[in-house]
Amino acid sequence: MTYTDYPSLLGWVREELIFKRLKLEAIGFSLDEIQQDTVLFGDAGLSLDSIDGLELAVGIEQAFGLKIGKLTADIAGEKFKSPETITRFILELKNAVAA
Amino acid sequence: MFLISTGSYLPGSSVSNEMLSDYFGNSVHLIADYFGIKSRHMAVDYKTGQDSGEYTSDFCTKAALDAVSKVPNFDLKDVDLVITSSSTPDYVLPSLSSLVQEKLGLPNAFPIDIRGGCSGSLQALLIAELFIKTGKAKNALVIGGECCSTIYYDFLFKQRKSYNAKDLINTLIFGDGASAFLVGGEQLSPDNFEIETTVSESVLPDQVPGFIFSYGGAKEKILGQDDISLSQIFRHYPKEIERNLPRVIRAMQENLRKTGYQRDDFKYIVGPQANKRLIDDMNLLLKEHKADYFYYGDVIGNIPGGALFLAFDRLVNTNQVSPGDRVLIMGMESPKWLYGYCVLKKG
Repeated sequence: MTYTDYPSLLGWVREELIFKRLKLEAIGFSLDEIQQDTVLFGDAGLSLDSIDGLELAVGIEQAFGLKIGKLTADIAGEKFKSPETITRFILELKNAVAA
Repeated sequence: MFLISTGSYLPGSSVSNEMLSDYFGNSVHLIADYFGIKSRHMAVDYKTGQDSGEYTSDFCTKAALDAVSKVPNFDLKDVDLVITSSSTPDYVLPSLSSLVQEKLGLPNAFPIDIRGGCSGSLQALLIAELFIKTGKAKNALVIGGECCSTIYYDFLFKQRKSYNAKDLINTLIFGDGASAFLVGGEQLSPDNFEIETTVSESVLPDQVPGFIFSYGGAKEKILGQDDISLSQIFRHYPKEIERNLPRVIRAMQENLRKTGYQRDDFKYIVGPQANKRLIDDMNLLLKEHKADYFYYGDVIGNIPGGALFLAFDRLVNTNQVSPGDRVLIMGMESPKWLYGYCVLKKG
C-alpha cells in the first residue's frame, strides 16, 4: 500500500478498512455514514464491538506490513476512536518504521 | 456420589503462537495476546492443515481409558452409563456417546449426549448424579471433548494470505482435547473425592446469544454454499457477553450462597478456561472467596466440553489438593446463558 498522504489514507480507512472489511453494508450502513469524525465504538456512532476492533488492527497490519503489537486500551480507546484517529495512527506507525 | 478417577487426552503436540505466526504473521500475537492464549493442541497438522485421523470420539475414548487405568482392579465393564458433552461431535448422528460406548467396548452401557458449551460437562455430571442416586446406574463415565481444528483449520490454512481476524480468532482461542470423570455411588478408595453438590441452571433465557456456532445445524445450511466463511459459522457477540455474563455470574453466586458454603470453604476454584479476558471478569466472584483460581486455558486454549475436567485433572495430577480440601468447579456459557458448578471434597 502506498497511501502516504492524509486524504488518500483517510479514504482507504473509511472505505476499505471500515466499510468493506467490517461488511457494514450488510448491516445497513452506507459509506456516507462513515465520515472522518464518526465515532466508531461505544453507544454512539457505528457502535462497533471489540472483535471489530481486532479486525481493524489485523487489517492495518496486513495492508501495510506494520506491527501494532499489543492492542492496549490506549489504542482501542483513543487511536481507534474515529477514521481520523485511525488514519493518524497509521501515519505514526509508518513514520516510526521509516525513521 | 464419588469421583473415582479423572482422565484427560490432548492430541498431537502443543502448537504455540510463535509456530502459527510463521503462517499467519504478526496478527497471531496481536489476537492471542488480547485473549491471553499462549498455545493449544490441534488434531490437524498446523503446517499442512491435514487431519490426523482422530476426532472427538477418539479423544473422549482415550480420556475415559486414562481415567479407568488409574483405578487398580476396576473393571471397565462395571461402567453402565456413558455421558458425553461436546459442541463438535464426530457427526450429528450417530451420537457421540454411542461412538464412545462402541470404542470402549461397553455394549450394555447406556449412552447419553449433551450438546453443550462451557458448562456442558457439568450438565452431564448432574445427569450422572441423578442416575446413580436413583439406582439407575452404578458407575458412569462423564466425558467432555472437542475437535475444533478439523472444522476450521484446513479452510483457514488455504486462505492464509487473505484471512480476516474473525477467522483467525477461532483458531487461536479454541483447542482440541477431552477429559473424563469416572463417578460412582461407592467410595472405592479413601482418597476419592466426594461430589457434595452439583448444580446446573439456565438464566436469562430471553436474551439473545453471545455466540452462535452454526456448523451442522438445520437452519443455516452450508451444503452447496461456496462463499461460506468461518466468521459466518462462528459468530461472536462481545457486547452481549459484556452485558449478560456478569448477570450469569451473579445468579451463580446467589445459588452458591444458598447452598451454605462459606468464604473459606474452597481451596481452589476451577473456573472457566475460556480466555484471560473472561477470567478477569470473574474477579466479581473471586472477591467472595479466598480460593486460588486454577487456570490452564492459556496453555490448552478453550475446549468447551472438556476444559473444566481437564483443568481439574491437571490440578489433581500436580498434587495440589490435600485430604479435606474442597474444590469448586464452575462453568458458564454464552451461546445461551447457562451456568453450572459442583463442589468436591477430597477424602
